[in-house]
Amino acid sequence: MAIGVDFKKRTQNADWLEDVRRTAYERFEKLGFPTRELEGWKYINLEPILGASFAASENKGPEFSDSRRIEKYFLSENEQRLVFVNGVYSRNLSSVKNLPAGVVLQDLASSLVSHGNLIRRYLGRDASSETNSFSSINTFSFKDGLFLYIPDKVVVDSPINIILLGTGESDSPSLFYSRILIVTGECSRVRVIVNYAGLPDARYFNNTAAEIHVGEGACLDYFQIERGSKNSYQIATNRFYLGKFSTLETLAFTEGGAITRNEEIVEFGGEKGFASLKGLSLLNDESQVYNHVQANHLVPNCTSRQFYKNVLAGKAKSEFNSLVRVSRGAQKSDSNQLSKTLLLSDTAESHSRPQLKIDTDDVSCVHGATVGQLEKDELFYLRSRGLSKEIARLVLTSGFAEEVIQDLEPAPLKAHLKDWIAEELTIATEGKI
Amino acid sequence: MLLDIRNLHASINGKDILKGFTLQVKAGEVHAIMGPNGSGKSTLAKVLAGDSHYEVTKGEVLFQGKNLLDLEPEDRALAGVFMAFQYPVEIPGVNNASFLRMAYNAKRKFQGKEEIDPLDFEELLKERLKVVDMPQDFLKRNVNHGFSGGEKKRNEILQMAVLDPTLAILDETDSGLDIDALREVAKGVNILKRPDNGIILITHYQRLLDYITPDQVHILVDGRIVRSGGKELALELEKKGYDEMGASTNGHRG
Repeated sequence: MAIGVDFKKRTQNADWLEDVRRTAYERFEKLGFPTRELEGWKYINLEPILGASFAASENKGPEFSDSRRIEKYFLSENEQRLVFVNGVYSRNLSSVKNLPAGVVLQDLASSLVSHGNLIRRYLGRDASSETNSFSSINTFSFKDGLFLYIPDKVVVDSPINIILLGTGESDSPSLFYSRILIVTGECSRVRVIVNYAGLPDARYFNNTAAEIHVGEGACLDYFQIERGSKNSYQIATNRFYLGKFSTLETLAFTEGGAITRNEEIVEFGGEKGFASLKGLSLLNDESQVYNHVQANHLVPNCTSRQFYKNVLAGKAKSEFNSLVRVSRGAQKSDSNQLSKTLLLSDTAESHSRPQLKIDTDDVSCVHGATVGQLEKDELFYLRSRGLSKEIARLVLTSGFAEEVIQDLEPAPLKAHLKDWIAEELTIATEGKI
Repeated sequence: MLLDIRNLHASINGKDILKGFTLQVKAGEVHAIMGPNGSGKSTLAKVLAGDSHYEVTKGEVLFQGKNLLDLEPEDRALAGVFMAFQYPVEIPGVNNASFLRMAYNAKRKFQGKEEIDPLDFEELLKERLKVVDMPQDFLKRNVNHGFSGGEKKRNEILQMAVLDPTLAILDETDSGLDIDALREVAKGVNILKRPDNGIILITHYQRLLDYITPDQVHILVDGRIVRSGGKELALELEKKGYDEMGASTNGHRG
């Protein structure tokens, strides 16, 4: 992978941004690329990413303008839609309209010019202590991305749909950086859906870094829908900073993709914060997903929930690596880490590691993990009612998967995912056993 | 002849349970099979339904002249065999109404008919729900998930009512039910009783037979029928107990 230091030459960067990028670069020099000796990178084979000749894709983006080819990622007519092609904002494919007063929703490159002083307070906050090399690389390399700002007490009704599209081809794969910065004010509410998408069989590596600041008493939903091809690589580092009394709900829905790695880091900065982190991965063939989830209870009285499920067929592989950290003095912290994996083949592989680091007393921390196959008794029950072996497997598998999204809103997203689940699992369960 | 079981032997994990079970059921008949715990009652039900945990070591079962034991569980169901489970399985994440529709449509397809229109099916379900006297929201819940014991048994009867089997085998559907639930279940069975189908009631107690009148009662002990008779046999059994009635009860298991 080509790692350039050309940020130094980018004169349009404000000084503060130069500093952030330099810090990130220095941090990266210290970290280097992760190796399998590191616990967080033990199971992942980065060879395809680091070895492939991914070219930084500066000029590939806006050429693509056929909205019909990405229609399947649209959820509704009235959604706010921002489309990025190989990391570059596409004005033509996007549709932003009728936003409440004061809301900023635009590409990050423009925002750096128009709202530099605001962005400066939030961007790259953890650049000097970063532990994920890819996030550091993103910080010193990104050119564009999304900026969303919601003022205090503003509710954005229509969901914001961000489509990050990769179009690279097998002989000219694309490498791009997606940067997402979201800042929400006190008691605001917004729902963001990020579609990590690719054209069929596109070959690309999308390195995403998101920083999401949830204001006091604010509610934010952040749903990531990752639908990759056998040539798509996706590494995302998402940091959530939660204010007092705030509520965060996330979903990482992954279907297919060669390698998908999601790192979700939640930091409770004020009391009575609530975070629900969910994941559902449906993988077949040689797809791999790595979910690394961290909840840092720095203050008392916060609640975190983690609920991740995987359905693995073929030679698919999943990892759930989860850490709940309760700092000294963070009494009455309440956490739950749960991961369940359903193996549909003998060749699928699953790793699950929920961990706790607790430096205080008076907490409630629960964790659990299960890995298993379909229950014979359940299969027999369905078959005894006339359902074929294949349908019985499909019904049970869908039931297992749909539990994750059964309370999901908005309804169009839930319907959308249900269709995908049905489609994917029909393929995955056919003719097995 | 609806069902012809000849000298059936079956085992689980190498242990023989059925040891020469013979029974004939004609269309329109209700047979009650009674026996102490461990006599092989449930094994019989599961073997007939095709539970792969059990191995048939000898004998044959003809259902409407066809070899039932050759068929997969789903093919037995499609051919018209229905077993109401003693312990219905909970299926989290699967909606009761959609499950019923899938099962119903599987049967329609097998019979060469078109799938039923969802609205028509709703009507049919409403109708069949009355058989078990359950509220509509019964259908919105996940299959047996979080159901009480009585609700699970009623759900079995509802499935039976929807699938309309030619041969129904009720495996201790009465056990664990209070008298009201028992009456409901019996009512359901009586509604479904017709001249062209057959019912096998497997039960431990005589009390279900207060509500459903069997044509024949069989006493099963240690994997074999030791006595057969009319409905009065059940009453005699109730008075005397299994020990006195049915020779030895070797192999009595809890």
